[in-house]
Amino acid sequence: MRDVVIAGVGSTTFGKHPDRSIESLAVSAAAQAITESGIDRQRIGALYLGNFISGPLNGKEVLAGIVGDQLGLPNIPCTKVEGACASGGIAFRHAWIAIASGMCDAALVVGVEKMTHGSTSQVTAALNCAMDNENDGKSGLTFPGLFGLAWRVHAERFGTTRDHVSAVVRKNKGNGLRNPLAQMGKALTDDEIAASAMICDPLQLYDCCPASDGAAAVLLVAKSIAKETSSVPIDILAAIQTRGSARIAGHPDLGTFEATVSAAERAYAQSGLKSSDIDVVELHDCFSIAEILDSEDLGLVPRGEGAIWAAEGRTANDGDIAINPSGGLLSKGHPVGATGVGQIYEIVQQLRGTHPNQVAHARIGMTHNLGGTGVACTVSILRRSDA
Amino acid sequence: MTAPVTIAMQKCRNCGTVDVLTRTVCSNCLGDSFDRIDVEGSGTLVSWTTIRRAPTQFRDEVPYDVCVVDLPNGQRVTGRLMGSAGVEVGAPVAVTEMRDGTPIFSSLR
Repeated sequence: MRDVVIAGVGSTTFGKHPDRSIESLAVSAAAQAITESGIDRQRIGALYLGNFISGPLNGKEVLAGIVGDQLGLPNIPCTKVEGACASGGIAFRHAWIAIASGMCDAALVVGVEKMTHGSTSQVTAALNCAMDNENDGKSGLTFPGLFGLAWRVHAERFGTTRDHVSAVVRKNKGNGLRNPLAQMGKALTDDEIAASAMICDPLQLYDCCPASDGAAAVLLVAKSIAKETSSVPIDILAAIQTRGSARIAGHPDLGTFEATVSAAERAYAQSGLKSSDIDVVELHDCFSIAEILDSEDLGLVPRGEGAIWAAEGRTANDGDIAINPSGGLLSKGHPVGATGVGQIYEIVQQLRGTHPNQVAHARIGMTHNLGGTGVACTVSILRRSDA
Repeated sequence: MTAPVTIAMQKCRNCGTVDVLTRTVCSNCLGDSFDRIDVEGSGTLVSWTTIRRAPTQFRDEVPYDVCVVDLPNGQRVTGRLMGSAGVEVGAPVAVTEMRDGTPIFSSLR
């Protein structure tokens, strides 16, 4: 396998884009990534586009081909990949495979979603396409509901309280205030969080990420041609994808996602690194309690201490491990198919030292993207080439 | 209280693996021949939550409680929970009815 680097990145703001089409968002982000890389479009040998629900919510499919056409790419394979909330991370990994395998020297990754025009019921119904609707879906369970179930298990086992979990909300909403791409940064108090509407007990409104419109893009090239690029290349040290149970009741433990645990183990093995080497991580905080589970599943925080670490400030930018300096899904937003690519965008800015909410001396970063009921997971580890 | 309603499951004729009714092949041996069995509809509550924002299909039913329950045969199932007030993780629960393939549990306390 060949070494692969990130040569360019691009992103729209995450939030509401009522006047723009879904393909327009994708094309804007992709054009930025291509331009920034300085790579000739004729060298791009594959396009992978991560998207989840453009069919149900926008009535549009074959998005990858539409985007490739509008970007004036050659007649290359343009492929849409779908893995619910992990669609973007899966697209990134497929582009990495295309180059690492020698199939092409440059590949474009785009993630996109447009969902804020739908009603809460419509969006909830569309998101529920990612559930096993022959089993779990029939009970009336929702994705917030899954994390309500998980919270109760974590609380029962480790004594996790409302205020512990609120520390994650306060941190991520605060980080979002310093990220111009973020949808809803906010300075919040524990009382304000605890007074917000109950969604799926014990999950409240501020524990939930918003629906969002947005796109992000990354251009990958073989390290052998990295000298042709105009930006500081970022090494891809690991790009892993795993599967977990497709049924909620198929998880042996509701307090952990086995797809995340196995993806992290394989990412550390592929990179030759350990969890203590990671300086900064963008992980899948679709809900506040998810950040706590994820940080433990990734081995970044001891099992059962995710909430305590957040409450003690150990996951803040100046803490032991900086988690979600972008504001995370909670604050930056969650345009589902774009999220995993947006995480890569954020970590690249951190490793270049150009992030608006910069983590000091960030050398090695991680992304974690979780889809469905934990049925799909991607983890990547990135490093500055000159680090 | 009357005896709990049973939950229908499928048992692989080749290897004996028990699973939910919706499998086309056995995920253990790929066998495609099953017996339908009735599993005791009682167990212990793993977790539950109250759904207050529902997808279109269930919008008129909110709020409602969804639960995950461990059955005595080792199977874990998702269902509805009736009367969750004061209930705790680990509580004994039993199926009172099946509704569109979903078990409806009630606390035994």
